[in-house]
Amino acid sequence: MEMKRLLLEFRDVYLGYRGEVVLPSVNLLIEEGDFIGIVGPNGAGKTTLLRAIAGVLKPMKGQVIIHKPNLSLGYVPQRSLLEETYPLTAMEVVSMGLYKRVGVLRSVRKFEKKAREVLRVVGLEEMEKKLYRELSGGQKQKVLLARALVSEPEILLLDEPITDLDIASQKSMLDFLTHLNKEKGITILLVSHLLDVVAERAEKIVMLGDGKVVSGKRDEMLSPGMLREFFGLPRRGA
Amino acid sequence: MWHSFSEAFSFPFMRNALFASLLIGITSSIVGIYVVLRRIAFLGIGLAQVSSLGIALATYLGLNKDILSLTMVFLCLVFLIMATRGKERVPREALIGVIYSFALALSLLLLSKSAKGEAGVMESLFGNLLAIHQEDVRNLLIAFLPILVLYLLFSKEITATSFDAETARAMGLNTQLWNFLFYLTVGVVIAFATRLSGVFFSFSMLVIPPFIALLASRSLRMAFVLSLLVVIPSVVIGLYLSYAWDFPPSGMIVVFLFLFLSLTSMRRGH
Repeated sequence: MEMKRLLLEFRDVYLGYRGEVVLPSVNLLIEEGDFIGIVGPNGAGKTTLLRAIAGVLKPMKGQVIIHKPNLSLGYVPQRSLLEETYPLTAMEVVSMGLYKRVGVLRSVRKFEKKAREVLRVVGLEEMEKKLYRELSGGQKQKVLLARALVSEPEILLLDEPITDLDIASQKSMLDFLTHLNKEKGITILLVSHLLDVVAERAEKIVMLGDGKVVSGKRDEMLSPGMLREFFGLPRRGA
Repeated sequence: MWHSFSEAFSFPFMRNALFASLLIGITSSIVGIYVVLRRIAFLGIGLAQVSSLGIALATYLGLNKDILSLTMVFLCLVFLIMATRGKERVPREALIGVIYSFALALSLLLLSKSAKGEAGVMESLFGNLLAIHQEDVRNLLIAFLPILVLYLLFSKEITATSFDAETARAMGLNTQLWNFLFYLTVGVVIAFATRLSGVFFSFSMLVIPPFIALLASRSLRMAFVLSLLVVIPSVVIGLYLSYAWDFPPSGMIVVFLFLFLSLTSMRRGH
């Protein structure tokens, strides 16, 4: 069996805010090509964990080890947390993903071709001049995904990307993420409270609840015992 | 009319008022676009009142007004940032409201004991653009020019941090630096503008032109240009009419801003 390359490791990491621990003793391995679903009830700390993986939240204790030098991350935050009053076009939002590469004091304009190409990949080539705030929920989600993809990430972190999308848009988004994972080799970490939807796609699952974080292969994690412990109920159809 | 227009601005005090109002208006409206977009407009009036308290305290103690008001604005900003980190028990706006009321109360007490008395209270609220000296204009230029250059050169970093700091940080931008610079510029703009033009004028310039510009714009670039197109005629015409009709200039300029706001709202059918 082929060994996957280890990208990121959490060793006994404690996460929290203002001295209050939310997730104690997190141990986690992220390997190249993984499709990991991070699931758990509301308030379990899913976003906290994703923020720590993204490097936005510093651990209170423990070690986060990056095994691959210059590991590039793409981050898709919860759409509902973004301010919608900004008069920014879809193209301008996507271009933000290139700001780090472009550097300070340089215009992003000569990289617009790249941003346009990614907009085409997510199916929004006609929307580049439309204001982000005027797009539908599904379109906005795709713009945020394009912003993450334009930096050509090795790991893509997504926080509730399918919540409040209709069924067709949910399927289309998950199909696209599966395509990115299988065809492009992008490692995916998907946070969702929709266990059934995530379980269909993810090969590994990280379950959170009551301050506990347990991870493993999908089949192990979806055992009746685990589901009872973390969700209180057996999974539908399980 | 043109004869009296040129006559109005032939006086040094009118020219000083013109240059200072333009500098305050242009810089405040550029910074104010992000203040409005970040939904922290209330912070503007809170900080302006704190700045006013700094000026009153400096007058009372015989200290440098610019330094004390700037120091108090920064201390207030640091306190607000520290007090509202993480989960908020009460909304930040409420805390700003408390700071505003407390600063206003202290200003009233201090000014009531000053030689100017009630006139001092009026001046701290409404300012006196016609009392601005050439040296004030020069100091304003020294303080505001770097801010304008900063927003011109680093607009993409400031915009990305303001729109979605979390993602910008995850993607490698130094959002702490850009946030710090943003709040630093808000503090400098408010402290200097309040000292020369009063709480009312500095807050109006920080919020009204950006509000009008954002209402009428479909891009950030257009919003910046429009805010200047609103500020410049309002200042020039407002100042001129305040001279011609003997009205307080800050009131007249803000009335003109409202005129622009009404026209913009009518055009949009609001």
